[in-house]
Amino acid sequence: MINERPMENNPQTIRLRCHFSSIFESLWQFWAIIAVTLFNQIDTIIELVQDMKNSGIRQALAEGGIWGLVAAVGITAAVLLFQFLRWRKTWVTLDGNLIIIERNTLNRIHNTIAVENLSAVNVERNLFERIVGTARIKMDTNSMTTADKTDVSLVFREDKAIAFRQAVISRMNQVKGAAAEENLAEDIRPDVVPESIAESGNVFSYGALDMAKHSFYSMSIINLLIVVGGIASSVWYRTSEYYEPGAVLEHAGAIIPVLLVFVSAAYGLIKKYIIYYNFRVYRDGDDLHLRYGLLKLKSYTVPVDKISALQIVQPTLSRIFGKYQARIVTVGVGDERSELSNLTMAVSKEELLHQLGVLIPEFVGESIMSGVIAEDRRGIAVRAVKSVKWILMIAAGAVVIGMRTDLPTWIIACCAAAMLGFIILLYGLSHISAGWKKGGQTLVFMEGCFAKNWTVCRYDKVQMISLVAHPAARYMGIKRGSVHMLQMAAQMPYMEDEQAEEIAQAVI
Amino acid sequence: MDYVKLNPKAEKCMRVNEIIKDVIFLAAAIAADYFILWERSHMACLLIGAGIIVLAAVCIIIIPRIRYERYRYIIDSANIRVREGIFWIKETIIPMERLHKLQVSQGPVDRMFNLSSVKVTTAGGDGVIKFLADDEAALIAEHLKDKINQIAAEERRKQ
Repeated sequence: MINERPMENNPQTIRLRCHFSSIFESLWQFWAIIAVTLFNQIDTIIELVQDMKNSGIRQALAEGGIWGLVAAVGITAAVLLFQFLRWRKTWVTLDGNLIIIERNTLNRIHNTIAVENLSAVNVERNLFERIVGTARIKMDTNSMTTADKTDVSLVFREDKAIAFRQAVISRMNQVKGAAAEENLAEDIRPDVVPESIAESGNVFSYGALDMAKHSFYSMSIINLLIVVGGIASSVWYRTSEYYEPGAVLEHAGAIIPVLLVFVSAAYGLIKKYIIYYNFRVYRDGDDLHLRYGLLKLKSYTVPVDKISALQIVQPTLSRIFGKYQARIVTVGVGDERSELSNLTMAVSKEELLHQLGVLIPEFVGESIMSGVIAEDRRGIAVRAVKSVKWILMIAAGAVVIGMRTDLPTWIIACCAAAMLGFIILLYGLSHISAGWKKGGQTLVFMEGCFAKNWTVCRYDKVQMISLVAHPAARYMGIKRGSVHMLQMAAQMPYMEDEQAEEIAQAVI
Repeated sequence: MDYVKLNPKAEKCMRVNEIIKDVIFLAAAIAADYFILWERSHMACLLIGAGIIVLAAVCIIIIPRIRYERYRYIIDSANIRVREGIFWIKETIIPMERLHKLQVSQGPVDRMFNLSSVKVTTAGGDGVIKFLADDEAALIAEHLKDKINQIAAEERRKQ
């Protein structure tokens, strides 16, 4: 139990401060800039200090060079003091069923959240936190306005973080009507699988090889082309007659931007391996437990009833190799820009359906990937009408280039035809990938172009529907639209007016 | 239940909104036309300027009419539906059960015509019924408020 400052008159109250290290962690960008500046100016600083030693501080001040250093030290001290006071005057209180965050600085803030409004209480540990021995508790409320970001983020010493999380979850359970002790999964450390679950064999873990495969199947084709092209051209240059020793350094200014593009593309290829390293998921009662991460270790507990939708995704390479991965749409997971809320890694269709059947049978009770109705054929005609604007733009562009340049007509015509072909291919693939299915418990929508996505949503999670009819679609008696849920919207393909109405009636 | 058409005052309100929008567009377009073309060709500048004015006039005369004729809404015990658009027709369907919040608002042009908008919010987005007569908006808001309270009471009972 946390006993940083228990209230004597009320054992239900826990009051504590964040860990001291949060002072440094909250402004890591500032410290990074200071570190880089110090590193770059180290010679000047050494010189200044030596001057000060030799000619005295007065002389150094008179010469003026020292003022930059004084200003830097002053700003750093001021920032440190401000952060220290902020930390010192910020308290987190768990009082009965309320979480109160009070900050008694110049701007006094009292933030009160009722535990029954919390949808997720997760733990996360980045590299710094692992070194220091702290953990970050991330709490999300059911609010729509903050659905895409974490509402409360607190850093505590690891044992305190676990105890605080346990206390909050126990109270959440009590509010829901269950006894606090019933909540077995959360009573343990989030990274420890309960024995009963481990023995059942329903824990899905992925080893290094699985992760490597997942990274490959999730690769962006563009990143792959940049990396392969970059390596191939480097090898070619090194072995060709054009190679000149020292030329690379001479043209460093032009090479660095290219190198940055290459590095960023290469990172894009291995990013998923780093983010999802050692991915593990299991279900305990009505909660899903996820844990993953190499540099930033994340541990999530997701109540199944808070999942808005299930997405089955096939990035381009996965589509070629027949692999699928599942993601969940829920508050509290996938809030960060680079983060996706994967529930499985890239696996075969059979394996995917098996894992989903164990993890979230509520969404896969009926066969979700079969019996999907393809988009209405009249959708091709509507897409053809929509492509007219692109045809006109390309034609106009080709005419202008033909008039303004000396390029041979056949080159302009070929380029225009290639662009046109690509646009037609995009429209064609969009039509082929689009589909829908109205099941007993769920709605399934299929969309994509080179990649393909299935969105599975339960009727009770659909918040509203928007239907749009293009003039050509209206003429043909079809329409398309989107189904809105908390945090996301799924695209409905072109379908007959009556079919769209059937979906609306089922949702209502 | 059939779709309900807006109060005829709504068309006038739409027209005033369109005039304000088009005057701003006209000023910007004619200024750009003058500064870019006048020095090069007086004739081209005048022709394009005339075209812009005709386009704005057509927009002011025709668009509010079409928009008014197309704008429809339904509020029944199960859902709220709003259908609107000029060429692209958009229909928003909001199940009553998902209502979270309600807002009645009135802009300066709306006030001139005693019109209001009712905005309903769900966890997945908003829907707005615009150009409602004030008394009608008040009635709808009252009805929806009761509905929201009823839903909240049911939710509490379930918990």
